Amino acid sequence: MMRRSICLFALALLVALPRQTPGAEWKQLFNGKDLTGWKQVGPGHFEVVDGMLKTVGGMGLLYYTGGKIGNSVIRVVFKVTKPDDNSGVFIRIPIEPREEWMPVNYGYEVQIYDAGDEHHCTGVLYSLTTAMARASKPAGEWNTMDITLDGPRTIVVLNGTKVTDYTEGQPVPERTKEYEPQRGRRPNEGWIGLQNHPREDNSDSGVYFKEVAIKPLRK
Amino acid sequence: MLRRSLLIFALLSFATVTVGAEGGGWKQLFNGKDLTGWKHVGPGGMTVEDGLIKTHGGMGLLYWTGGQVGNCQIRVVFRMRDQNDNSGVFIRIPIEPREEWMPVHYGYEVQIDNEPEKSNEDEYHYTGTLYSLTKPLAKPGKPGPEWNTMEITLDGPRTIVTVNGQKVTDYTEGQPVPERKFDFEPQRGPRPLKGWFGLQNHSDNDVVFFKEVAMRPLQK
Repeated sequence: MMRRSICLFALALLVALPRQTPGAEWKQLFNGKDLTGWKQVGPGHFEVVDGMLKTVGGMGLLYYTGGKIGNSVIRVVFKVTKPDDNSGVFIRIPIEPREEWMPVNYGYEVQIYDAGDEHHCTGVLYSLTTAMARASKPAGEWNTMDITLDGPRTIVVLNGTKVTDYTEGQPVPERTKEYEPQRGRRPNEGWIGLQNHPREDNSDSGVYFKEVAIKPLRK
Repeated sequence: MLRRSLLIFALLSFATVTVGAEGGGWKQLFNGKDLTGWKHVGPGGMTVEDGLIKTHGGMGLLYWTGGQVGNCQIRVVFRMRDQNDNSGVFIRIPIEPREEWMPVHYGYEVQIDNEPEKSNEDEYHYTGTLYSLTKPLAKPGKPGPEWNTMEITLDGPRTIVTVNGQKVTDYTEGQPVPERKFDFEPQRGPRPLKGWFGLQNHSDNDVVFFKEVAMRPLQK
């Protein structure tokens, strides 16, 4: 019985393996048509326009309802309309969101905001890490952001250039504003989401996402 | 070997029950002297004066750092400074708090407020209710400075609250609740079977004293 189980297990592995062929391992989380698999919490919303997700109002977030994600790479392809457009990608949210502040205070926001300082610009963990580079494309051009969740380590690569490499427990600056996240450890696995955030003058940010995908980390 | 394990398990279980029976099995979580084992988050704070926990300012909470609790009873003995004051006991908080709003939206607050109508709130906001979610089965809260005993039973997905011996709340996860009316009311949705818990300090105008916070496992 035991041997037979092992045999079955091996067979199951063999069947499963061919699915992980290179290039085919990205799982698209946005279907290009509607918000199936996603849910909005907090003010504002997302619209689907010409196969893209567009931010409206805010601050809120559209989270992926498929559950927690860890030990994976998340790929987000986005563009902004103006340099002061504001958005972000929430990661490591410990529980399923019902409103917009728990994700801020108990998860991380990978920032999208080209007008921010080195702790608040595109690719940093908002208010917590210092940008290793400024790698955004000009407004109107597509950016590819790869966020690697490797256990307690978070790596953000923007257009091929590393902007963040942070491991849980490393020092971070003190919290200086009430809307900045609470400090403290984040979980290895968490819910993820896209932020809709207005501009400084309260007008809608024109941030568009054309791809949101994940693939498991291979080691 | 299996039989022997079972025997040891049975013996251990028996020993636990026996120990638990002494003094009703209550474990005191407040030592009467300081806030060892507790941590405050949010505005305001708590102090210990004359063996009592006293609330200051708010809204914040003092949570028990011992971890998540469930399948147990929590006993809180409290009194209001004035005729009426506002406070509460947070339960079923899913993650360790770092600020005051996650506990509101993802946990429950067992309310302490005998006169919710004075702040334009209905009876779903009376002492012993799950704040804004349940209707009181009785209104046994005593005005200050009389002492009240609140017992909260966490029985899997069921939450029972008695105040001064009378049942005020008997709620099981999934039962219908009223719609959310104010932005300071908790988000609706299921709460976890086990959670962190804490005592609320509500505002400068609300002073509440706690002389006992104790817990015991559910006895079945």
